[in-house]
Amino acid sequence: MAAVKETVDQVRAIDVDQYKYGFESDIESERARKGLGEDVVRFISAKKNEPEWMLEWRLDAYKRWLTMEEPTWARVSHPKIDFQDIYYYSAPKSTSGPKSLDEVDPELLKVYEKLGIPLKEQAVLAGVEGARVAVDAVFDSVSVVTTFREELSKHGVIFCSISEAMREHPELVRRYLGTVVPVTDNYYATLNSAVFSDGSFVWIPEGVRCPMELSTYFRINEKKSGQFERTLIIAEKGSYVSYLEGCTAPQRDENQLHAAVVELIAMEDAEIKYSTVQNWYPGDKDGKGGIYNFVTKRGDCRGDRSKISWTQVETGSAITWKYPSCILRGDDSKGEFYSIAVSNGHQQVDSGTKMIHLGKNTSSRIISKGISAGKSQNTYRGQVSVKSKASGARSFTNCDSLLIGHDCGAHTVPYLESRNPKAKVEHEATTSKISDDQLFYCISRGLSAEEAVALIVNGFVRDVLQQLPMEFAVEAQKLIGVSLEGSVG
Amino acid sequence: MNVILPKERRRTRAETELEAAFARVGAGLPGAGREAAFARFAGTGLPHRRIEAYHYTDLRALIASAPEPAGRPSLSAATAAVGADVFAAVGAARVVLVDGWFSPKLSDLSGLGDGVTVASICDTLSSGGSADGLGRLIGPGSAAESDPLVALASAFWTDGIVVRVAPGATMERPLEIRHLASGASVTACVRHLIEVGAGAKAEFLESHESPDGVAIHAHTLTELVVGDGAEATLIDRQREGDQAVRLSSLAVSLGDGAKFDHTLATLGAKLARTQIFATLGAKADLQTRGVTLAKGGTHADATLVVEHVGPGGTSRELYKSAVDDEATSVFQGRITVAKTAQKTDGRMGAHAVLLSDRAEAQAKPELEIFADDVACAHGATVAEIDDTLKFYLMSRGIPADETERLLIHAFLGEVTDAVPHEAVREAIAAEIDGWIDGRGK
Repeated sequence: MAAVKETVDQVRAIDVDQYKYGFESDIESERARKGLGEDVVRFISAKKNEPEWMLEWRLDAYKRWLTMEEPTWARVSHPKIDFQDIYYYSAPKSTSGPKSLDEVDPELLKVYEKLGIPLKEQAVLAGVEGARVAVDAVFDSVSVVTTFREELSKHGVIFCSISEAMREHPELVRRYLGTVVPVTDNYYATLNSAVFSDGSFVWIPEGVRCPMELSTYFRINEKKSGQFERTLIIAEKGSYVSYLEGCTAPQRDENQLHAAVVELIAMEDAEIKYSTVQNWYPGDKDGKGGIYNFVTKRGDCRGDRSKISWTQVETGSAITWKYPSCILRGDDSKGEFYSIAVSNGHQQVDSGTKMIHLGKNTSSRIISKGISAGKSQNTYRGQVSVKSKASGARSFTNCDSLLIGHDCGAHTVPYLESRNPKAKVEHEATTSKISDDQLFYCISRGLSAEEAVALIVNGFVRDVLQQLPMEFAVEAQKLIGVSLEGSVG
Repeated sequence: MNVILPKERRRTRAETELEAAFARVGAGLPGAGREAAFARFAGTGLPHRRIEAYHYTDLRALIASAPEPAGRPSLSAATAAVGADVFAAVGAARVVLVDGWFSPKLSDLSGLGDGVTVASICDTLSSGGSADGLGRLIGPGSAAESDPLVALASAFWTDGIVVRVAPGATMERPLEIRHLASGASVTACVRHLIEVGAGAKAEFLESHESPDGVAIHAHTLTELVVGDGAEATLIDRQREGDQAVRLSSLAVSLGDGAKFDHTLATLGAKLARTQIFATLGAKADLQTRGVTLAKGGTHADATLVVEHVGPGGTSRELYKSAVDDEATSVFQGRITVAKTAQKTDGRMGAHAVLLSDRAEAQAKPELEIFADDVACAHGATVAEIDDTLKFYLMSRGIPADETERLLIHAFLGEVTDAVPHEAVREAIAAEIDGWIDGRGK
């Protein structure tokens, strides 16, 4: 995702409702009937020309889902979701397989241009000379275009939409899909398994270091539609990939559902770095509208010495329910979780991670920074579980919360479970406000109160920002500033 | 993860037994509100792992059967239950309860000073008096209200004491409350109400004891009010036998400027859960610390809910456990800071040392914060004894088993050293050393 052209100043001029991706585009689309049923699941599968086993898989998930109950343990509250009031499939009409960018609906290209996403392959990211990012653009329910495919295929890297992967590489999809997040994992993951429409598929062959950053950009455009994407990334032995994910949605009064599943698999000595800048529409200043972001993300360090690193900057969504996790199965494998969760207005965030230590000498590191402002509630919920065979496991958690204003809440709920005396599990957390001394100092040096807060906050989250790929970090830093607009004074 | 439960949940054997027992004895027990309390309990039944507060202590799985409620033991049986008093050196006044029944003959309430009254709740109620304030701290809006163990104890309690310390009075010697067991496998259930008036000073010791091999289920529910500017100390030591189940709840409210110093020593029982619900007024100060020793197949749980309601309060929580054999220790601690509690300073530490390959420790320290001008922190660790420390001591010529002894002692010492009363401190330290020496034997 490129740094956005507008400066923070320009955005400020828009006042409190500063969400700048709130535009809606009039693009002709094709939808499934409203609501959910076996026919809709069949419709989606047929639309994608899926093999028979995939349809069976979906139907099985759908039947399971009917018997499940919505989870209520997270510290979020929302009116009951009417699952029959959602369009489960919506696709821009022109996308029946464009061969090149020229065939893509120009309206669609305009959307991505507005969002600052370079879909033209020669595009170079602002300010970062020579940096290239391959992008898979997912619009509502389908992937519209994937860039830099030829160059990637020279290295043997497969980067395409998951529906294409199902047709072109069924053996890979079949072998790995649902092996990290099983169909029955949880309510939203099961729903996703039944109705997922698109997402990205990445396969990095043995020993290959992916030559460029891979990125998916998610956009919800259609009214009353849900987005259910599914991402599957497999890094074979000794390979490396860095993957970025970004998301936005139009500004609307209704709540829209986004229930994604992301599965990562790292084989021996492989490394996957997964970064997210989540900026779904958070609702207006009275808490009306916004995206419900109920996401299941999990990585499996399947091979010895493998590594999975999650970095997330969460600024959007009315409700976030998201726990990117690592199953540390291989010996000496490593899991990392770096998170910045900023909440303002009426946003509710319940996010964190799970680190499941199964292998010997596995290690995990969790750095979480939560910032709450306005009337928002921000919860860190994290579990570190050391199983009995994980001798020599090591886990460290640091989780800091910052409160800005009198009406917000910051909560920390860590779960530490150790079944092995040779493991070392540590956790520390603090909650505080921006100190008056720091603010006073910055203001006395000529910064405005808002600039001072932005500066202090950026210092507060620096540990995490450093983990982001450079082109993302610039964007994330700006985003945090913008998200906190109107929170001081 | 999701399991579909049939609408009518099947009761476990223990739940059926409790229901039958309540139907039999409930009506004959003193005080009001028991039906409602039992209905609250029956609504959830024995709490299980899907109930967040009991995630690590699944009572539905851990309690197979609930013994009969205890009848009042005879004086000779009660007298026989009294063993050596571990806090004898303190010279405290004494209340003795056997199987949950107050025994005035075995108690010594002299020398507490003016303004201090101690009476049995049962006697007070049956003589037409009122136990004013009973149930206030566990009533609507309190964190304890929805707790199934609190509800269960509210339904089944047989006796207990009411202690009132008049405003401004100072207790001249500590009061020790001994909970003893006659040796019968019964459910014993007591409930206390302690009120320390504004500006008063009071010191309490509690000891829960039962012999090994006795499958007693001992419940205690205590409400403690520390008035504005008052100071109270409570040292709660539990050394139940190896077959005992000990389930204790303490609800405490600290008035403005009140101070409460609390120590919990969990040294025994097959299954122990101690829960503390504390509410702090303006500028109140809560110090609570705990040490847990668990070995064999035991399960020990310490759960804290600390709510800062008034501004400027301070709380310090430090809990440590040493876990051996196949034992499990659980610590759950939640600090809640209400919107009104600006300038709160809260600090919580929970540390466990695992001494064997099969020992387990679970910790869940939580912060729940709604006020912005606060400084709250928590830290938690679980590990074995540090090899480098062991190595250092051994390099100084100290034998391996002795280094381990020293290091466990030092690890727990941070808690025991802070116990305010010297004689109590020494008594608990001696028990810990006895436990360390008895390891592996």
